[in-house]
Amino acid sequence: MSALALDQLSVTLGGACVLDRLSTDVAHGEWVALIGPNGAGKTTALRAVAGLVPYEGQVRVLKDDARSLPGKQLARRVALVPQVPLIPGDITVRAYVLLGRTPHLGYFGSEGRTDHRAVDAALEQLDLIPFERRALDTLSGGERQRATLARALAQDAPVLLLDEPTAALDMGRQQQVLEIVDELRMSRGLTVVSTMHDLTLAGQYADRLLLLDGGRLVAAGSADEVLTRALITQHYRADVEVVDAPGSGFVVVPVRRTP
Amino acid sequence: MRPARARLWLLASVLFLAAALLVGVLVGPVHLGAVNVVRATFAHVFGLHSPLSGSDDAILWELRLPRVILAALVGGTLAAAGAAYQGVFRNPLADPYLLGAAAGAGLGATIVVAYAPASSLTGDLLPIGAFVGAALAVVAAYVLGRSAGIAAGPGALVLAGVTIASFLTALQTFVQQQHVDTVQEVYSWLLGRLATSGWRDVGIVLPYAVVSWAVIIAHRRLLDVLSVGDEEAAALGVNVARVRLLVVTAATIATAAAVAVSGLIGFVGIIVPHTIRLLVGGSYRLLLPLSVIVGAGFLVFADVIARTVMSPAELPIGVVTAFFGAPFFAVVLRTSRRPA
Repeated sequence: MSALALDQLSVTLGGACVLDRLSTDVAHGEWVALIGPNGAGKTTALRAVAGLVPYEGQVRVLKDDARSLPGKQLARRVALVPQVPLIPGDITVRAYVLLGRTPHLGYFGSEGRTDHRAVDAALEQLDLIPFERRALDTLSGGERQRATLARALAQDAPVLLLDEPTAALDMGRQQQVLEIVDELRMSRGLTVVSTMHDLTLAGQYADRLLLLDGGRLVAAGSADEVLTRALITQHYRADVEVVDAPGSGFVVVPVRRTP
Repeated sequence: MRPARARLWLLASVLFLAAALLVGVLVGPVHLGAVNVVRATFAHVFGLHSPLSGSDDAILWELRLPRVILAALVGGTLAAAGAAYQGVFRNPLADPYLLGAAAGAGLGATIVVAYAPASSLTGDLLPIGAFVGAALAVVAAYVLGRSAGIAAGPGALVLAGVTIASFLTALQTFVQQQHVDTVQEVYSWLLGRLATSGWRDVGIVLPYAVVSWAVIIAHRRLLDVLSVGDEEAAALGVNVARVRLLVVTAATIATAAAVAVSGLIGFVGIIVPHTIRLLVGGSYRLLLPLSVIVGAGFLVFADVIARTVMSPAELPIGVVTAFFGAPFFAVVLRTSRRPA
């Protein structure tokens, strides 16, 4: 049984079709990376799954039609980490992570012991215990990214959507964040769908890559099937070499056109 | 913020309010005595015999106490409404008058002063005119903002408020120009006053204030959720439009009631929540209850200053809130540290 099933998912924004009949099944515990050039519809696909944009077609989350689920129910199953989260600077890391418990609370409800335990677990898994009383705007970019991930973890949703989880991070932090996501996927049995710009990292971490261009799915499969020079040149309009580096998977290297 | 520290801040704010109330009823041309004041107040509440003489008791019960209570209700309401507006609009400069409540109340009051027959009736109609004007202005801003589309976010609503406020201010200026004799009365109303208050005014504001505080404080956790942005809040399963509508409605109705009895008292809705934010952090869980309590105490103290510095004349309380509030805020801004 798949954790997430997209059937002919289409999104039209401002009269333009930005996602065109995307269909795919994501298995439990699988990591699927959406790749493609800017404007390919990667982020829109994530937002549609999270119920944030109107769409045609069907999204099934753990068997159920996402449209039939009330907002809170959907949020208990799908957690979204946006590319540039709005960071309320003057609240503490702990208070911020606690917001992840929102889908589990009544309208006027307040957090109980279970919620605080979920927050403790999320903080601990992301090594944020020493920072829990710090204000968010005193953290570095990498620490903030971890806080955002912790908030999504506290949500306790089996499906995690990550929009460019490594944007604006240095090489070391990128690796750290992706390792953490992979670890959480293993330890919590999460299903991960992420958009990624770095093709090498996408190939290293995701089980399956979906290449989108102009809103349409143009290639899908493992790294060796999708990360080919022909596909990347055609859809990214980039000159690249793809090197099969032992132990590192497929490394996508840009080649300068005029040396 | 640890729960123990939060409780300490709440306790400190309650002590601040208690001190303000006591100073508020003690300061005046006639000396009453702190112990007598407290005993007489309890005597009235529980139907016992007051220890004060007849005239002193009347000064306390008919003049000072209603005025102090009114100041507390108005201050708590403006501060809570300001904090609530800042939360739902994610705009640190939002104040209770953001969506045109001030301009609407101004127009309503001006129309009453200009067109109602000059009699004791004007005094009764003025709060009603101000209340209706303020409420209608915000409804108009909301309808206009919504027509721009929910996707436009809180910015559209704020722009709609600015548009409505400008239009209503133009209308008010026009009416004033047509009735130059109203300028003095309208102007003194606009500056804010608690001078004529009695228990009647307290009765007007009390139900609105209490209901609005309850609704706003009940939304404290959801206002924290809104701080991560409309889209992320929606992804957490929150119906953002509904939260915004409920909080704005509660804040607006209470603001309209406060404006109706006290005129336009500026600055409270900005300075009180921001001072608290600088001291205890930005989480609405603590910010909203503290805003109600500290806002109440702040306006009581401001009123004490308004009626003593130029005694027996009175300064408009709006002048006091700005004159003392702004430098105080500057000091807090410079010396504050983030809570650990």
